[in-house]
Amino acid sequence: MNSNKKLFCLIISKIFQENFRINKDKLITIEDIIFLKQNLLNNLIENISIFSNENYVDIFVLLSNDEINIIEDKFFENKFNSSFIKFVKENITIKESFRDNYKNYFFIYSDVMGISSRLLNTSINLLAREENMLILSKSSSNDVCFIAKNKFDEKIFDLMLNKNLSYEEFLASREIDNFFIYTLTGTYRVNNFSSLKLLYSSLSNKESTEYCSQQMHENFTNLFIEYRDYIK
Amino acid sequence: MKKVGIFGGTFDPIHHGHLITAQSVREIRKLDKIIFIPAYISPHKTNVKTSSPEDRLNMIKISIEGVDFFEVSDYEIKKHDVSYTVDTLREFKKFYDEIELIIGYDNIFKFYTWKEPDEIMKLAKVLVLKRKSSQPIEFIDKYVKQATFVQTRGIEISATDIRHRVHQGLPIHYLVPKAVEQYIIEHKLYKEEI
Repeated sequence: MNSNKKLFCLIISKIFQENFRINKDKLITIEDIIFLKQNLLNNLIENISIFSNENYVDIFVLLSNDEINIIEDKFFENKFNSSFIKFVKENITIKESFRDNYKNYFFIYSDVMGISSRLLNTSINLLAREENMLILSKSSSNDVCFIAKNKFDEKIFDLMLNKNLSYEEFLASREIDNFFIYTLTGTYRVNNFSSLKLLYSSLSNKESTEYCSQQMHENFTNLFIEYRDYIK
Repeated sequence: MKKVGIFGGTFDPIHHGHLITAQSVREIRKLDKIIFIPAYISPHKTNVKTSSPEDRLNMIKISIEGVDFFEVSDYEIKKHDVSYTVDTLREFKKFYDEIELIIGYDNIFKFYTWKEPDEIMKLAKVLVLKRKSSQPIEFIDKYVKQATFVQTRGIEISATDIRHRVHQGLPIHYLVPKAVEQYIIEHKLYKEEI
């Protein structure tokens, strides 16, 4: 074990096309939703990669078994060839490989925006305690966006796999009783049409360069152009 | 001119952890006095339910009674609005040459999000209360670099826990000064769901 190594587990969320309904007659196409989700994942991986180097992090992209048939081929047509990124299926073995092998654990939904190097540094500093620490980042609409811990805890990990964890639901959970919790803000999930509008407006702000590169901006812009009449 | 420490917070309620920490900081940093500054929290603007500003202020007053190196200021409470540390420091800088601002360990890592953090660093020396269980800091930004870390006695008392205990009818002896315990009982604080 590398005593300083961090694990980043990026949890791919299911695609519900209905969530991307623009109005009663129009939906965002499934191809565009996949394009959106690919870009969100790419953006996240880019931010984690900039923040660190291969010796310092392992990135696992976690896909649950029931999603594979839907998006497997299209989703994994991408260009990740770095050795420190592994695409894995959700199963018991993978949990075992996470256990006790890392100094810090980050479980992040793959459709989260707002994760900058600064936010990751802050989280890692906050985790540097002997007690059970849990750092949570939430959106303004109270969606849990990521959870970071200094010890692996299977129950908390399972909670995250619930895919759409709300802040209230999380705080009410008995699994967190033994943790010191610190809540961060500034992140949000892009998992429906209204959050796509939020993505559009937040990428117009200069601050977004902290968590979204110029190239990524351009990729998202290609999508915005398709739906420009609806997202403004 | 005196060298003072400024200790801000909600203090809902003030407890022995706050008082022992403040005394310890004063001795380590050789400060003339520590000024407790309870924050004003608008009942309309936050989703956190707190006691009234007056109750929180009164509990501080009675817990430091007779201690000449502790003071309390109602500066932020009287503003009746959310106060920024930088504004409070500007005000106190009119009266004191040297100010040391006491903040919790976790706060230094989010310090860059505070209003005018560079200005705060100019107005005061920032003292960070270090925890015994803290491990080495991995990412050192300019604020961490400029801050002074102080290892105080580790008194792990939580105001949230005190409120919960009162709500559940459990005793809070030894957690707060006797006078504060009396005050909480007499004013029926923390009886409602928190």
